[in-house]
Amino acid sequence: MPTMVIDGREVTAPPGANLIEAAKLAGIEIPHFCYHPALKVVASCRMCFVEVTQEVRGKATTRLTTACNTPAADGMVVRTDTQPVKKAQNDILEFLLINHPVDCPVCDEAGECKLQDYAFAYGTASSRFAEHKRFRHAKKLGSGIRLYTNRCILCDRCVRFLRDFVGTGELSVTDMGNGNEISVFPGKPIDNVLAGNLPEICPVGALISEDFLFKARVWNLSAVDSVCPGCSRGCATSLDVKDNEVQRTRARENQAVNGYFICDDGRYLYHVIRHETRLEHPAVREGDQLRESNWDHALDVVVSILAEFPERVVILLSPFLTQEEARAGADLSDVLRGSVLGHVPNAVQEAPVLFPGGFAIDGDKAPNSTLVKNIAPVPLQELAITKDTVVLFFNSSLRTGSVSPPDAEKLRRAGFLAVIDVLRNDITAVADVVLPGRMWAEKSGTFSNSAGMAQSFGAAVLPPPFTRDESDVIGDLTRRITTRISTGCGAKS
Amino acid sequence: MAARQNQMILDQCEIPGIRSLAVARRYGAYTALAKALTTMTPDQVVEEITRSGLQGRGGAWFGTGLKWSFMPKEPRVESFLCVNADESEPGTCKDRYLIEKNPHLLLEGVLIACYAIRASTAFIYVRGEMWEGMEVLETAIRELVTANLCGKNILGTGFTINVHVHPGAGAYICGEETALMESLEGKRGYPRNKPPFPAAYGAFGHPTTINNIGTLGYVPWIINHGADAFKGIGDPNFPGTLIYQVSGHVNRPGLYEAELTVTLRDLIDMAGGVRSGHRLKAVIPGGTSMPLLTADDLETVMSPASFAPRGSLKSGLGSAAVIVLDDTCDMVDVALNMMRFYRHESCGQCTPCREGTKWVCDMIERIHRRRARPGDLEVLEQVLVNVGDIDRFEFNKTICLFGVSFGWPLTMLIRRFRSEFEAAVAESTPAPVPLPVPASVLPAGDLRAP
Repeated sequence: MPTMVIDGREVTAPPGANLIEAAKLAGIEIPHFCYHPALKVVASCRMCFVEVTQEVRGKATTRLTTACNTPAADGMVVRTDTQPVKKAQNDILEFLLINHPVDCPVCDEAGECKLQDYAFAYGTASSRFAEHKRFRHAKKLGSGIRLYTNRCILCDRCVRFLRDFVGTGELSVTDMGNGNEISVFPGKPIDNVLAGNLPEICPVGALISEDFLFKARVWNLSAVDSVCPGCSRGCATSLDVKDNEVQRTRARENQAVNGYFICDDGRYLYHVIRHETRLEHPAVREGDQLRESNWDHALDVVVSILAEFPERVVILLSPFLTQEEARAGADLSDVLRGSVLGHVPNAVQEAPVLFPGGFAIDGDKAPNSTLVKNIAPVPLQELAITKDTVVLFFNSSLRTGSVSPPDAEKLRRAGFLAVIDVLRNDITAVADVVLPGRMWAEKSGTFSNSAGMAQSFGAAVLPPPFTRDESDVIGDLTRRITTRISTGCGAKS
Repeated sequence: MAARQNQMILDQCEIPGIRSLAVARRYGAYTALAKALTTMTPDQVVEEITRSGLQGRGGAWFGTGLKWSFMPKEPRVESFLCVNADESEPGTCKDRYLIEKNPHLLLEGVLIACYAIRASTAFIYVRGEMWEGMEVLETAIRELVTANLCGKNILGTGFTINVHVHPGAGAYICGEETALMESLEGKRGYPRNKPPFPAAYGAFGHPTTINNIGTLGYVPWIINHGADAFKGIGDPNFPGTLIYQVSGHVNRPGLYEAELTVTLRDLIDMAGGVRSGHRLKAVIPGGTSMPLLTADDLETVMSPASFAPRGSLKSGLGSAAVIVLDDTCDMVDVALNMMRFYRHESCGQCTPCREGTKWVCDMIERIHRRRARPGDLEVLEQVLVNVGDIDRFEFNKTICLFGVSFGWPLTMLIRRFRSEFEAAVAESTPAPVPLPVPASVLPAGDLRAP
């Protein structure tokens, strides 16, 4: 464990750490563009200059060097604030800005742009450059990524990410010298499921997501820590909200799960929150038709049947429920003596993917399968469903087709089917009572991922007005049932 | 005449048919290889070269034997020899001549070097434009394989060496040793950060020694005649000879091989002197990457000893490509010509060089067109210093030495001939400051689909 002094603070860095990482431990930021902890070090932006004093052959020598490719070593004395360091950083910013369009007012990156931040912190306000700036056309690169070529500072991060981390390598640097340009090969656009990370990796506004293009200024966004419900991996995300709408999803660092990245499936999953098939009102079947109703009536219908035939009740949990909701569902089955508890396994399964950089996408496209299977071990296919059965299905599934066709067929056979769900689907179409629930971004809760790690998340946006939190609904049901059972009200004698 | 040529390398080049193995062997080729393979161990070869004091002729003057000694003695993976024949420094023309005239001299050096560093494969990276040289080398290697001097079990000694000729794609930067290896691996010719050095992590990640092809031309002579004989030639600190490539405004431009005690005046005399009716104005001593000398520096001994890193000349011997400029040269013209080359050849990997070459070139272009603005010269000088300050001997602002290859010579050129630049600025009509670039946010129709 090398121990060194950075700006007068003693730091013990883990073996193999470079000076940027070591300084970070001491709370000192060394500015950098091309360095990214998940990518190969190239030291090409030359922004991270520091002054290092070290004993070389018995003599203390001081040199200006780039921090990203200097490993932390015992006895080093590092200065990040001396005149030569500041001058070197200023020079590099001048070089980077001479051909940069400085179009921050129309750039989506403004506000979270490293070039902008560093220009304020380390640069000068005026420019000595009086030549023609380089001009390059903006390009569509594929997978919803645009390259505003003029803004590019050629840090090479995107190229290294796709080549070394993702392993697909669609991007490369073309041309030479001052004409260098990030590009795809003709007819070979970016085509991989991690492409959405590119705008985040890009330290400037060169790579821009079409999904977020001109949607919001980033300083108007409020970020809420969340967990991705897209698969059983449970990647850490940040939901960026403005006007009570999620504007975009960003990856949040979590070394235990996803590192610095998330996949595009999870990144763009937030569109489901305002999806046109969203259930927004309770509905009760009258004859052939589901009619819009109110919560009080809908719950009364459900409770009257549950309390009447508790021994015929089957309570089903889906792996899209949070830990809290699943437990509340199990509690409800305790209240209803004689009822059966089971789960409906998620039918949306894909082949798991592992990328060369270590990032993994799980095959199970539901967030909480492990825990729900623990709480309700019996799958629906082992349960008997007849026309006498009363089924209470807590679904809240974000995926179409999450209930397999045989399971759906089985549910259709039930004498009475109440579903709490978030999107219209073939189960809600045949249900007798449909209760609108809430999505992960609208409630707080906990998901246990495939490795058994429980991760909590908070609400980011307000839900549609007539939806209710699943735990709340289960609580209300429990209350109503216990009242009915204890008072004997409505029960057959 | 004070100095004469001493031809150790060039002496056989003009022998008719020396390109063919049969003729070359008649003149003693591959005797040194046989001697090394049959009577010496690899370590003894390294020891002999180290004792001879042979230094790299590519421009860095690093001890060849010392470089070889860094290679692993018991390699866990295959070791490689990379031979740098990507000769692109403006003014340099020795490698091309040697390859086309006497390939077997160089190949013998390559084979001995492979034996010494325990490499089984040699890659000769030849500049992309040198088609004839590549064909000559390919033919020579085929002859060697047929004669069992290359390939498996050479001369029955059980030693295997494969030699490959690899054409470059014509980029100057690929003459930088790590960029050369990247290019050899099929990647973009971007110089690597050092450390790790090639002896630990070279081509394809294997231990690699990289030598200039001109350096290896001396190896057979040293093995044949012994280290002491070599050490006795010329300056004992910089033994042997050097091929000076004199070009520009001299009467007989060409290659002149001499000991490293020769002065600049001797070299110009050998080349027939400055063309008649003109005075000497400046000399670029070692390719355009070396700051130029003036007519006052004629007594300089053309040896690395004269060009100490922080010495007063602030220049270097480089590849010994001596470019003579007479009084017809406009120094703004010279600067522009040099800078256009460096703007074109920067690889663009790191910021100061990528942005600096274009900026500097734009400014010199404007001064040259007499459209300079007051203060341009000062900005120009400061930008050059920001790429690499010659007074502080600062060369780590960029990954490789390309930055200082234009930063230092341009700084010194402007400093030594400042009056010409000042005159150009003074007689300029200032160019208007251009409007900012059009907004990069374009209507969707202008987006270029991939």
